Amino acid sequence: MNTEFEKHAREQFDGLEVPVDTDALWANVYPHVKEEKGNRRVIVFFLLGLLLGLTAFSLFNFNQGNTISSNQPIESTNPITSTPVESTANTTQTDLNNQTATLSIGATTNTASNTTEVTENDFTKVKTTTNASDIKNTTATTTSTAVRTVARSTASSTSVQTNISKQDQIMIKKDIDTKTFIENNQAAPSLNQNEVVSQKKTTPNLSTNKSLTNSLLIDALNENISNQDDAFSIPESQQKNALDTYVNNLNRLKKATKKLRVGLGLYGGVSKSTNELSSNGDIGIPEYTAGRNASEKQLETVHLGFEVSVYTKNHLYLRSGAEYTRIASLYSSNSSLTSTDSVWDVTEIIINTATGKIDSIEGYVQTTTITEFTKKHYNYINLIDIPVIVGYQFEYEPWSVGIEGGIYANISTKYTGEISNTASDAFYDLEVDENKWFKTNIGIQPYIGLNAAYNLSDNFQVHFSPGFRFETLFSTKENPVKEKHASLGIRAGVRYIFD
Amino acid sequence: MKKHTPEEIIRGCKKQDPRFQKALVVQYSGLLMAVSRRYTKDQSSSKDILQEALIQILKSITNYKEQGTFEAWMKRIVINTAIKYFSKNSFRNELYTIDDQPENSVEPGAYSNMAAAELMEIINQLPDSYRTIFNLYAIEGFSHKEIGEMLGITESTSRSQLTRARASLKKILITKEKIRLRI
Repeated sequence: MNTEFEKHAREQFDGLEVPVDTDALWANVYPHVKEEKGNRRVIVFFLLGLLLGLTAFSLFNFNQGNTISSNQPIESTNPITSTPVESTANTTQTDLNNQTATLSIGATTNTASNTTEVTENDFTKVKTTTNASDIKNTTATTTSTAVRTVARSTASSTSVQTNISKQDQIMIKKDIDTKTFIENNQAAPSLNQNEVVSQKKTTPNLSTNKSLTNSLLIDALNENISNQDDAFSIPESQQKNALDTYVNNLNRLKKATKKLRVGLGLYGGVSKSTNELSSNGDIGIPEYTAGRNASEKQLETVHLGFEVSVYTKNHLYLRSGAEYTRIASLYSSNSSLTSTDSVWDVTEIIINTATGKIDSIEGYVQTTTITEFTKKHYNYINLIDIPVIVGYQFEYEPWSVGIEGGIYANISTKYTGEISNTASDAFYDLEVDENKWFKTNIGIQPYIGLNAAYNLSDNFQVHFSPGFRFETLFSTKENPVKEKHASLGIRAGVRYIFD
Repeated sequence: MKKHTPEEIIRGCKKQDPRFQKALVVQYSGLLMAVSRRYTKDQSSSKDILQEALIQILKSITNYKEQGTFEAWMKRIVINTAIKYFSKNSFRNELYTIDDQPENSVEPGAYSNMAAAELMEIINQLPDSYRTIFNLYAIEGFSHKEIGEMLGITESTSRSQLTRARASLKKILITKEKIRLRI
């Protein structure tokens, strides 16, 4: 019985359908299968990108910062020499533009010179408010040398203490109060020969070498001192020029050594984009992508953005902000319009062969006109991204050039235009996006580029950034056609960097 | 609504095109409802199961590898949904004793003229666990091993439950036949 009954049941149930209210069922099912908005995913991508950028930026800074101990107080045991003098002399080991500079400047009414031979082990820490760097020489000479006096300016401008411990440790402490220095010199710009204290001619001892010639301060001092060689007094104009140069250089040095500087800017750009279409392999899709590849042409891509950038004294920078990008393409479709009309005309001619009579019958005759035309569809992809770019720049005043790289985190994508539809003969409206093929699903796009900037003034600069950006996967995974964009272009703009 | 081929529906649903999703619901609900009805006693439960199964089908259609027929794949989802609907524990703990085995055999004439609806009504008189195992084994054609994996029970449990289900069916059929003869 079992087998017979079961066989009968199988036969009866095979292909059986039970009536269902499909409208009500669909109304209940649809809310559950509607696609969720991709915003959450975008935010996650953005935060990840931001975190990545900040982490990279911090790591760079941290590594650089480890070589410098600029703000740590330095203890020296048993200082054997502490010579507060009316004059000043200072010694700076500075890493400026990747060059180590040893500089001795100052002035004194007396000639005084302390030279201490020290070895690498003798260096403990160097503190300076302007800069300090690794001391890599196995031996170094610290020189405190009287050079000359500019009476009004020296006393409060610099003071240097050179302390050498019994254990041959050395502490070099430098405290340049640039502001006071500038004020003092500006307050007394007109130095005349009488005011300049004549003094015993002293051979200037600037500890410079070939590798140090780019030092801004040394340039100023060299110029100053070379003028001094001819006479023990300096002409007013030269004094002033030297002073100005010195002040400017100090300002630049101050900027160069400032820990962080913030810049704001606006920029625009244009790129050439490529569009790569690929099929997911569904039936008919490869033919479709081939058709689109043949008829679609990428037009210009434009960028507009504002930026916030942070510069470190280590020549690293982090750039963010917001950028609008519009990718344009032209899709051409060939269509034909067939119009049918009816005109009153002869429809039939009857020839009577016996009588030779010819009759004609008139009526409406159908005429068909085929008009072929090409329709052009301008399609636009509008993106808003948050760039998180990290860069490194080399400075060659007034230029700076560098490399940069990072990500663009997309926060909005909007399509306008239409393409031919894979599912029907009709055109698919990209803005309506009925099938949700083009919802935002970009995530993070990598970017790499160069950066060149020209300083118009101390704070203003124009910049140019040729770069390459991948704009990948604009379409969703459900879309049978995957789109990959890549753009190569240049951005240019202005930037104001705050002191 | 235009009737679409299974290929069109699959492709459209993979693109999450609402038109094709609705087409799937419209075209296959009747078939899937018949499956769902066999596993439930009441229509309300079968509707719930069908709705849940359709959501599952539409969400996981991208995973459909086109191995086997589309209908079989969907039916399997309905069956799995029905099994989930009833707690697996019910198959372990549900103990039905058969008071007495029917002595008389059932003549083929007693059911040969039965239509699907009547057969479904008879099957639906079985307890949940018996009904499920009977459907899985006798109607869908799963082995006891597969049934055991699906329900989380041992093969021997599946066998014994099937035996009991068959005995129960026999009893139901005999009772039905007796009533019919009396009439």
